[in-house]
Order: sequence, then structure tokens, then C-alpha cells
Amino acid sequence: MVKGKRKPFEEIKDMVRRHRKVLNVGCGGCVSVCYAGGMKEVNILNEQLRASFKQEDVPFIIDAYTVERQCNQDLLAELDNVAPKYEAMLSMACGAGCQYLAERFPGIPVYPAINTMFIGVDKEIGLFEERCRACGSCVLGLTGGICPVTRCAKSLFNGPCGGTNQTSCEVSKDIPCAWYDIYFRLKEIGQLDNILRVREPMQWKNTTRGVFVQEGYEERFAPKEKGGISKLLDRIH
Amino acid sequence: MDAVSLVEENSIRKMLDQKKNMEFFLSVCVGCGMCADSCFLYVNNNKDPSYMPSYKAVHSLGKMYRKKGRVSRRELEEMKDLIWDKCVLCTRCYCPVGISIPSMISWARSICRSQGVFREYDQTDELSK
Amino acid sequence: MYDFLIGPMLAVTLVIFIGGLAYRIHQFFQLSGEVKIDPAALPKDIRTDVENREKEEYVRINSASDVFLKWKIKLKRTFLGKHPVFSAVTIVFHLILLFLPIVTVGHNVLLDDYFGFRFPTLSESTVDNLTLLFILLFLFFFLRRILSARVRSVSTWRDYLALFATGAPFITGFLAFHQIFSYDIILYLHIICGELMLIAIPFTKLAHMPFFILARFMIRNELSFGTGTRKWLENN
Repeated sequence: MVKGKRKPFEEIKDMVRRHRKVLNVGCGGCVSVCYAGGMKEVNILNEQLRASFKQEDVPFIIDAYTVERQCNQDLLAELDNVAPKYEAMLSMACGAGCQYLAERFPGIPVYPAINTMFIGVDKEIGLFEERCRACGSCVLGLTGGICPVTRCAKSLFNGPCGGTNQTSCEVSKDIPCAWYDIYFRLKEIGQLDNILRVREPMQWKNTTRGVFVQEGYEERFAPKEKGGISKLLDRIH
Repeated sequence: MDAVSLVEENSIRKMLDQKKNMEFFLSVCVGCGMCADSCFLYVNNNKDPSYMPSYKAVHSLGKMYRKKGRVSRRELEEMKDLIWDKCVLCTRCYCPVGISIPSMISWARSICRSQGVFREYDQTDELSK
Repeated sequence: MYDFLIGPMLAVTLVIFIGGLAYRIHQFFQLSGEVKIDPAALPKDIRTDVENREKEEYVRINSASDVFLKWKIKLKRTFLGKHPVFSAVTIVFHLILLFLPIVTVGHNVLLDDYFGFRFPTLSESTVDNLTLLFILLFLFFFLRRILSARVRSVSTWRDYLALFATGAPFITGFLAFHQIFSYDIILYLHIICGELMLIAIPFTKLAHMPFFILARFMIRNELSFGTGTRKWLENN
């Protein structure tokens, strides 16, 4: 599914600063699954914004509403009676959902509270890894189910580059070479002839495979540290 | 799939037996009702108990276990309303005891699908309901 | 009768209780497996992410009330902050349930007789008051089960059975201590109810006693206490 991560608090606060009455719209789809924009996160963000504006003595009202999915106009319809009461809306959905929400309410400014990261898998609780870059011409059938677009730093379509160093990528020793993995996978399933088939080149933005840990879930992966009661509270749900 | 075709009780029972942990889940669910507030559909729908996560699991998969797979097509159709229309599998249910409610609902969906009962997403009037 | 109840009957009860508990724990370990986190798959910037988040100031700390506010917001993420009254009720209820029988004078006299050791005890009047509190909380849970629509909608006879199996020993204990009705009969009932409760733990919904600890501390989940090391095995 689509994976997202909440924007830094200050950035969100600056976006809604000029408004007095804001509706924070959550999404029960992908961003809820990746702990970024479900009802729970909407409530947490609202609490933080309320406290922050209260300290500045700025009157600020923020309410919460979570819809099933923001990427569907039928499901956004339930906001029709709610949204006009507000000066602005925060969208905790992915980029697509945020745009669709803005489209439904042309008169109300809509701000994103989520950075949409990638299409990825749930590797662990709170740990997500990119698996697809939505390039629009899938070659997985020829590469043994390993995506050269996402996994290869150069998104090469036809075999590894000259920089491949045994098993790892020339960008970093920690990144495995996608084409090395493709070779062995094809060998294992007896389709090694696929590697010789030439695919038409495409133009790519060069980035390595994305991976991130959801905010608030870092403790599960970071080396253990001394924490005190405040850290202990993080571990209660 | 026509409505009169029979439910294959044996294959349902086989699927139920495959998930021993879910039988365990259902045997420890104390019905405390604390999962309710973690479901945004429950909050959005005037706190209707049938939107409560444990309600959805207990009255779908739980019912299949209680009846040992001997459920009628009618009952499966009723479950369909519960586990498709009233749940989006956002997987965020809270359970104080540690039961994984989403996995039970998704398994109930799989069992329904195996019997040809499933949500038809092209029926848009159902979506906007 | 009395000798039978606190003699062979108690022994049988304890064997069933411990055996049943062991079976449940064994079942848990069979149904779940340890899954390690692959450190190679982790992003390299976790620590800077944490540092950045710590720096994020949604609350400026100028006074003690600001610290209190920050803690309040943190607490509101958890169950304790979302449902403070229910949390308090359930925590007190379960603490009394677990510890009161251990610190009661009468129970420790028996324990001393059998094994020659005893736990520290509370005075009889404290125990009496705590029992009364427990019975009130028990009534709260009972009324909640009847009156609250959402709890009622998932209640079956097994839930009532579990609730009454828990409440009965305390109610009969309270009656016996105050010598209401026939002391002997109530005392027998008290012992029988207590033993039935122990027997019930592994086999009724009271099985959430071991399950809660195992599932919430050991299974890796969004809501686990800490990180957790195990996952449910699918297809068993």
C-alpha cells in the first residue's frame, strides 16, 4: 500500500497558523495501515496543535473527522455537511487523497499533514520498505519478481552496471545489487534466458530504494538506551 | 454465484481448523467493549454497537466457530454486510488483552470468498451508502 | 466436609489450575514463533529521526504546568489517558483480585499449616474494606455488561460465567467474615467457589489472565508493551 509519514510539527503548525477553525481529516485507508493518518494520529496531532496554540494565546479550534478513504468522492460525500463550517482543512491522507479532498471543496484551503513516501510493504510494525515506484511498465515477469526500478540505484532495465561489486551496489556496500539478486532468482526458477531479453530503456530519476521507520516506532529498532518514565510511557498503548 | 447453491461446510471447517490461534483469540475475548472507540467507523456512525471491532469478529468468525462451520448461505450474506461494509481493515483496533481482531476479520472474509460471498465493488450505490 | 475441601479437593484444584495454565502457555508458544528484526533492513537515520522529534516543541517548557501539559498530551495517546475512569476501575479490580487472596490472614494460616511459610498479611479490617470495594467494582462490571449496549452486544453466557466465577469467592468470603447466614455453609461455599474459580481460569474466558501477559508483552504488534519478540504463526 501507499506509505506516508507525518510532516514535522512546526511545518504543519505554520500551514494552519492563519486559520482559527480547522478540520483535520483522517483517512482509514493506506495511511491508517502505516500508522500515519488514521483516527489515532489525527487525535494526537489535534492535541498537539491545541496545546501549542493555547500557549501562544491564539484562539484556535480544531476538530477531527476520519473518512473511509479520501481517494474516492463517494466516501468524501459525508464531509459535505461538516466541512463548510471550517476555515481550512488538514488532510492526513496521501497526496492523492489530499488533492481529491481539495477538489471536492474548492472554496476551502486544504493542507497536507503527511509526506507521501512510496508504495511499499509492511516489513515490521512501524517499519516500511519501498517495493514499487509506479513506473507504469512492469517488468517483474522477466526479472523473477525482483524490481530493478526500485531496487537498482540507477533503475537499470538491462543487467547490472559496471560498478557492481559482487553482491553489493556501487553506491553503498550496504545496498545489495538488484541485478545480482535477479540473476540468482532467475537461476533458481529456471528462467535464466529472461535475463538476455532486451527491454526498451526508460528515463528515471535516480534514487535508491526508500525505507523508513514510522514516527513513534523508532524505539523498537533503535539500540536500547536509558529512558526514564517518559520513555516507559511511550511503550504503553 | 447463485443464491441457492449449497455452502461447503467441510471446506469452511477445514479453513477454521487452519487457524488455531483465532480459536484461542475467541476463547479469551472477554467482551469488554474497549475496542469500540478505536474504530473510526464506530465513532462516525453514532456509536452503533454493530460497528464495534469485537462485534464484527465475534458475529462473523466467532459464529462460524460456534456453529463448527455449519452456516447457511443466508448467514454468510449477513456476515458480508458486517465484515465488508462495516470494516475497512485499517488494522487499528485496540484490544487490551492483545487479540488481533483485524486478522480474524480478514480470515472471515477469506472464508466467505471461498463460498462465493464477497463484496462487489462495482456496485457504486452500495459504496455511497 | 471442611477437611475434604481444603485437603484433597484443594490439591486436585491446584493440579488442574497449574496443569491448565501450563497447557495454555504451551499452546501459546506452539501458535507463535520468534521472528528477529533484520538489522540490515533498517534505515540508517533512526537516531537522528528520534533526536529531531525530541527537538520538536509543540509545548514550550517555561513552567511546571507546561511539563504537566506535555505529559498530559503524551498520556492521552495511551489507553490510560483516553479512558481514565475505566482504566482506574479495571486496574484496581485486577490488582485486588490477584493480591487480596494472598494477603488475607485466614489464607495465610492455612498456608503456614501446610507448607510452614506465609506471606505478609494486611489487617482484617483492611481486607474487609478492600473486599467491599472489590464487590462494588464487580457490580460495576456486572451492570456495565447489562446496561451498556456495546458490551451487551458481544456478551454470551460465557462472559457472565467468567464474571460470576470471579465475584463469587469474594462475595461468599465477605458474607463468611461477617457471619451472615450460616457460617459453616457460607464458608464451604466460599472454598468451593474459590476452587472453582481457579479451575475456571484456564478453561473459560478467564484464560485472558495468562493470555494478556503473553500476547501483549511477547507478540510484536502496534499495541504491544515494548517491542515484542514473537509473531502469530499463520497456517498452523
